[in-house]
Order: sequence, then structure tokens, then C-alpha cells
Amino acid sequence: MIANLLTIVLILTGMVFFAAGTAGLLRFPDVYSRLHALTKADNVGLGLVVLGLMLQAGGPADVVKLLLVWVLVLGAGTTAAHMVAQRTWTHGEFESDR
Amino acid sequence: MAESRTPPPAFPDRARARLKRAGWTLLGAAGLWWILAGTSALLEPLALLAVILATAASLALPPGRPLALRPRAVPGLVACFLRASFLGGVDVARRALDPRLPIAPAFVAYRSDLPHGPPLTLFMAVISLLPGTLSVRLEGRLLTLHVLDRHADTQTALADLEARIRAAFDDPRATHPRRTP
Amino acid sequence: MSLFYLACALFLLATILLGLIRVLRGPGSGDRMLAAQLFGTTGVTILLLLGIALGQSALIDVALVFALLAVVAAVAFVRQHGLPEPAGTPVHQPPRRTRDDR
Repeated sequence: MIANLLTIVLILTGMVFFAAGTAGLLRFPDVYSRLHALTKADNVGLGLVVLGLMLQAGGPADVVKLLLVWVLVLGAGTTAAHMVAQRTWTHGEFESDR
Repeated sequence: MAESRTPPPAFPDRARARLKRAGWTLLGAAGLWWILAGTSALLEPLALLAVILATAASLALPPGRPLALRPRAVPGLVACFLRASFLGGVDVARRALDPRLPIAPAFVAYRSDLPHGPPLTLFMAVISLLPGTLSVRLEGRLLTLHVLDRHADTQTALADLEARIRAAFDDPRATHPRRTP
Repeated sequence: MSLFYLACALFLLATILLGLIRVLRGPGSGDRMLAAQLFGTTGVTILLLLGIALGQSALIDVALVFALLAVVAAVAFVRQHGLPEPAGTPVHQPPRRTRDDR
């Protein structure tokens, strides 16, 4: 019962971070700032959801699997943010679509 | 196969390093299978075959450069990253949801003296997790960052992180060879 | 409880749709590349929630694969031409490029 409640609180907090990420994506003025919003806020949101789901997991293997998902997304997020930022820096903000 | 590749006695460290790596590969492969397929699947013939093949491959392949990360420093680093990542998320979420949109984006330069390779790569990756910073570009040792708030004390935070990462790695430029106790 | 998970998944779907406005409108090409990231993180979360709501633990494996492929997608977006960087690349601090200390 307490685990369920904690799960709900964690996941709802995570939803706030996802909403903030999308708000930043729509409101921030330039590409780099949007990258900040998308990477950091969404990663924390996913982390909270993963924490919440861990409380409901069936066994230790499931817990580690959820953790693995989160670590992979964390690594992907930072790498992708850096690469998009570098691409924007080297090729300019408006490169022609081919 | 292993006999034909036995290194000459002048490099006893190399054989030991390879055995050590094979042990870690064995543990890692078995652990991954356990995570993905569950406990009961660990004794199936296919699982055993995969784990044994992975271990054999790590024995047959030439040893790479050892990662100079100190195992003792890993938990502290991970805790620091997690904390920084959470604070970064909170910071950017607060700014994105604030109706006044309190951001003052700017580019900042930072000269790092971490050695190239894993330390510098890790540094650049973690910068993107810190509150309000995003690594954009690396030229030589000069980092270009994008910061959300140009009035924040970015340099101190970066120097702090850099010192932490430097303490976690053995310096490859040191002259004496690394010994495993 | 599973109703709660489904509602959260639906909410995340709505945030993806809103984020797609930015991807569609751009204006820069970097904004369009954000799509990979958006679908990566939010898509993985939706899959995790659906996996527990529907009792399909295989969906968690799908999420794992998504997480692995998110990096590949980002690399594919960024390195789409595979060319060396153009001559007019701006340099931040020093006036000329220093390549010797690499």
C-alpha cells in the first residue's frame, strides 16, 4: 500500500519534469537552450518513473533491468545533446535540407 | 589457441591482465543474461554457450590499453553524477516553467588540463548533466560550453568536477607503471 | 493502478505531440534533430509504463532496445553527410585553430 502510494508520487513528479521539458522545448529561444531542457528535464523524469516502477518490480533482475534502461538513456541523452550542439556549432543553425 | 598466444615471460603482466579481463567478461555476460532472461534461463545450453564464447573471445583478442579508472573512486563519482543530474533537471525545469523565463544564455570557454581519452570524454559528457551547462565543442583542450545563466559561477563548478574526475583516474603521464596489488 | 499507468502514458504521448510542434516548425535543423531525443527518452518511458500497465514484461525489453537505438538514431541524424566540418566553422576563444595539441 505504501509502495503503491510512493510509486504514484514518484511517477507524478516525473510527469512534472516531462511537462517542464516540453515547455522548455517550446519556450526557450535558441537550439542550445532547448537541448538543455530536453536532455536534463526528461532524464530526471525518466529516472523518477524508473524509481517508481522499481518498487513494483517482480524481482531483482527486473530492478536491474530498469536501472540499465535508465543508464542507457542517460548516456544516450548526454551524447546526443553534445552531438547536436556540436553539429549546430559547426554547420550553423540553418543548414539547407537536402 | 591460448597456448600459441602465450606472451613471452618479459611481459608477465599482460597474461594476468588478459585473465582478469576474461573473468570480468564471464561475470558481465552471465549478469547480462540474468538481467535480460531471468534466473531460470541461466542454465540453458544457449546461455552457457554464449557466456563461454564471450569469455573465449576476450581471451583470444589482444589486450587493449587498461582503463586507468580507480575502482574505489567509482561509487563517489556515480553519486556525484546522480546528484548533479538531478539538480540539473530541477534547475532547468524551474526555468522552463517560470512564466518570466529567467534564462540568459551565453557561450563560455573553459581550458581543461585533463589528459585526452576517457577522462576528458567523461568530463565532456558529465558537463551536459550539470545544472545549466552543455558541452558544445572541444578544440585541443579548449572547451566551448553553452550556459543557461551567464551570471552563474560556472568556472568554479567545472573546476570542482574536473578535480573530482582527475582524482578518480590514474595519471597515464606518470612514469612508473601501474601495479595491481 | 494500471489505469493510473495508462493515464500517465497518455499524458506522455501528449507531451510528445506538443514537442512535435517544435520539430515541425524548426526553425533550425538542430531543432529537427531533437526529435530523436524526444522519442528516445519519452518513448522509453511510455513503453515502461505500458509494460507494467498491461502486464507485458516483454515491453521492458523493447524499451531497452529503444534506449540502445537512441544513440544510433542521434548519430545518424548528426553525421548524415559524413563530411569534414565546413571551412567557415566559428572558433570561440582563440582567433585561429590550434590543432597541434590534439
